[in-house]
Amino acid sequence: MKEQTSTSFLYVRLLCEFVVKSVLVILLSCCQLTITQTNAANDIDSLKIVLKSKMPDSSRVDALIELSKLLYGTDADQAVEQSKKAISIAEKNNDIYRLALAYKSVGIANYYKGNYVDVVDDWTNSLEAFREIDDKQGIANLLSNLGAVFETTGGTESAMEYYLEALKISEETGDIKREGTVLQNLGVLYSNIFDYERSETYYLKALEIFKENKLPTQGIATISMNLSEVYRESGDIIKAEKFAKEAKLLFEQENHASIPQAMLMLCEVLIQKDKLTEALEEAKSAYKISLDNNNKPSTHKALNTIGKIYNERKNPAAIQNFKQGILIGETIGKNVDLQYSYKGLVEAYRISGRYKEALTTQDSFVSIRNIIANQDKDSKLSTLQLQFDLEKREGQIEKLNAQNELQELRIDQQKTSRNILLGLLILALLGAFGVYSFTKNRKLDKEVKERTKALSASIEDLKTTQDQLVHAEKMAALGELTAGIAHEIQNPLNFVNNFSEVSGELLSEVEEELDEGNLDDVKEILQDLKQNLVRINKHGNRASGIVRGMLDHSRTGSGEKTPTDINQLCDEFLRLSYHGLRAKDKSFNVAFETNFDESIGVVKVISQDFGRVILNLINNAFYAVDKKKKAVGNGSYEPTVSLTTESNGDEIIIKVADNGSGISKDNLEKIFQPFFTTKPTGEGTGLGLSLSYDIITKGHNGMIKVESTVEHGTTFTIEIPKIRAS
Amino acid sequence: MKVLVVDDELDVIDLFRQKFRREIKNQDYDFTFAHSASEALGYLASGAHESTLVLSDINMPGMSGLQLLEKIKATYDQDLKVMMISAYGDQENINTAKTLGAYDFLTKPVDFIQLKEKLKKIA
Repeated sequence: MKEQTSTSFLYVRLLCEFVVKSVLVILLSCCQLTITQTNAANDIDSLKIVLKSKMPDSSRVDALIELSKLLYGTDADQAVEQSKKAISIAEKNNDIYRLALAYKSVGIANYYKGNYVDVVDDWTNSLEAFREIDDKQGIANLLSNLGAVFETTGGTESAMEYYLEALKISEETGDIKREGTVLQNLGVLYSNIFDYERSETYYLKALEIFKENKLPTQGIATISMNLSEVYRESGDIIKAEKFAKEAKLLFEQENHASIPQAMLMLCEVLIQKDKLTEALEEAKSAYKISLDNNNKPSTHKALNTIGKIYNERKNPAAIQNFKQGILIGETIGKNVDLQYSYKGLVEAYRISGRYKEALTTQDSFVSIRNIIANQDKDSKLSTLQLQFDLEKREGQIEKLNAQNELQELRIDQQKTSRNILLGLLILALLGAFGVYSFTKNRKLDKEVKERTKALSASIEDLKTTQDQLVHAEKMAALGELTAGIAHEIQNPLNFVNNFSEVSGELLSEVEEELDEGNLDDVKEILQDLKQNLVRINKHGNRASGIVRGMLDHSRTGSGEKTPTDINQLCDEFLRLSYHGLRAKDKSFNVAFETNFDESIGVVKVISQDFGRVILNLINNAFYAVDKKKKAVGNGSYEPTVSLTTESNGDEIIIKVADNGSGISKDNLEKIFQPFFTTKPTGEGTGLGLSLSYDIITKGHNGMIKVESTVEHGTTFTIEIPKIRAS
Repeated sequence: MKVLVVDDELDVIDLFRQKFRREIKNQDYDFTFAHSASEALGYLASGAHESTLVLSDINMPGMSGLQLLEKIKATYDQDLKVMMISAYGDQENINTAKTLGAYDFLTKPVDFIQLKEKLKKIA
């Protein structure tokens, strides 16, 4: 049953992709792109000849756009080039209408290339131009396009805004076809955030419009498939079956490539109704059709469904199907279907009692699940954010959190006491230096020496107190630390305890089952026992790995201070971090600025440790801006990280600033605590800033502080005393 | 009795299967497992399986057990009981869970004898 739910989500996502693609098909067909490949080649040549002759600028722009349309599918780069020529001519002539068309055209070409950032820019320009001349149809078209591109890139909230405006304008202008498509897209968006009620409403409206106005059958079939999904998710199996059958029938009438998809949708319903024989037949024919059409993704899905049905029947044939699915899936890429194949295979091995293979396969499943979770996390985040915003808009949330206020009060108190202490320390230092400057006066010399001694002692006292305070802070963080350890170490230890305990119980049960002559049960228990030993070992190793990490954490300040060019070190680590991230993620693109104070020169630091701090702060900054960029999803945000060094009397100041989403007040207070992280499991240890704190305060007698404004960004400041190289 | 267990650790499935081997064999309990709060929500929304009890871990990546509890309480009627399991066992989480309408609490490592007693009471 659990598998059914997870696959349903997979199908929602796949459907979304499908719908987005179909939206594009519809939108392209609006551009009268109905030319066949063979005609296209001839038309391209003749258009190129026409363009060589003299003609009015307006005709030239039209011809260039026509040429781009012919090139979209075959040579998108050239299409971009031709459309850009059209833009510059239209711009020169101040021909706003043609400028809008040319921008739209370059956007479509970029969509083909997958340059979604450029697409957004181009279509926004086109939209602005259409707005300038109040061309309603153009405006609605571009709004709908922008919605589709945001949906593709996970910018759900922006997509929603564009769709709603497109809907309003299509209704006003009576553009029925667009109204239907936009309604359908809204249905997909709401289904994505699990609001099936609204999703259903939009789909039904869209369906009505498509049917009444005899819009393309393929569209009706897609909406029916969407509706089947929504009804299945909300538990209305009868309607789910009805719409899945309707979708299948319509696709069949059209002899459309999505027939297997509709069949597999029907399978899900049949499985839920426990009609396994019927489901198996349907899945097998879906498999055959997909194979005949050389449609790899749908062949893979069909194999998964067949495997799932065999698993439900405890039939070991499931193993073969999932294995074949994995073979095909690996050639397509790491996606949710592949994850599902591995999960199904684990289950199939378990059912057949092949526990060792189940365990190995489970490792593959977990690693794929993690890869996909990372791919999806940003779009999931924005989905959750959207859900929250929608609820907020509709006034459903009116809670005041008294706990928050209390926490703020506590934080203020902590800050005040820490500031007083630091103030005292600085005052004492100033006092000491002040006194020291009077040592030329012989008469006062003795007195001064005594006072200096006393003050030095009090500075020492204050330093000790500061250390104690830091220690106290760490101890105060013990609650959080315990929580971190509870999760990180306690969990594997719990498994060690639980599995050893249950193994003892199982041994007693073996004896009982033997007495009763239940040999099958005995075999099963013995398999479990074998597997439990492997598990105990695995979790034991997991716990000791964490302990090793903690020991690394406590090992700071052991290195020696060596003369270091701070600016060079900062620059090196900035580049190291930037290129490291670029190598990992090709789409990572962040502007960075450096502002180095050359008067700093060479200063003694524990360069290895100091470098770790700088690297950690820069990595965090890059992470923050990249995350915001992916969440915002449009071209208006410019992710920037800046690194500044400054010589200020006897200390040097280093600032790492980003214009990311900032850190909430709650998190800001915990940021230097060990094991505190906002990154997803497996991505951050939660030890980076805690280590940095220790390196700066204990290793370099300095200070590290953080200032952050939610939505605007974060700045980390390091201040360390200057120790000149002798 | 139908129980939905929500925990991000996959080994929990086998632990429950082994601990409740006899009970499952006698069909006293029917366990279903979800690996995340959102998976659990999707499962409940599908309505395919009317659980009497949800047993959920608190500390999970993504949506936490407490958020799951809040969503369940907002969506389903009071018949669906939610029991929270946590490694923390601290008063703050327990208080929050109580406010949010949790039926009962367990601290990790789970005392299965205690859990079986609690389940018997509900059944």
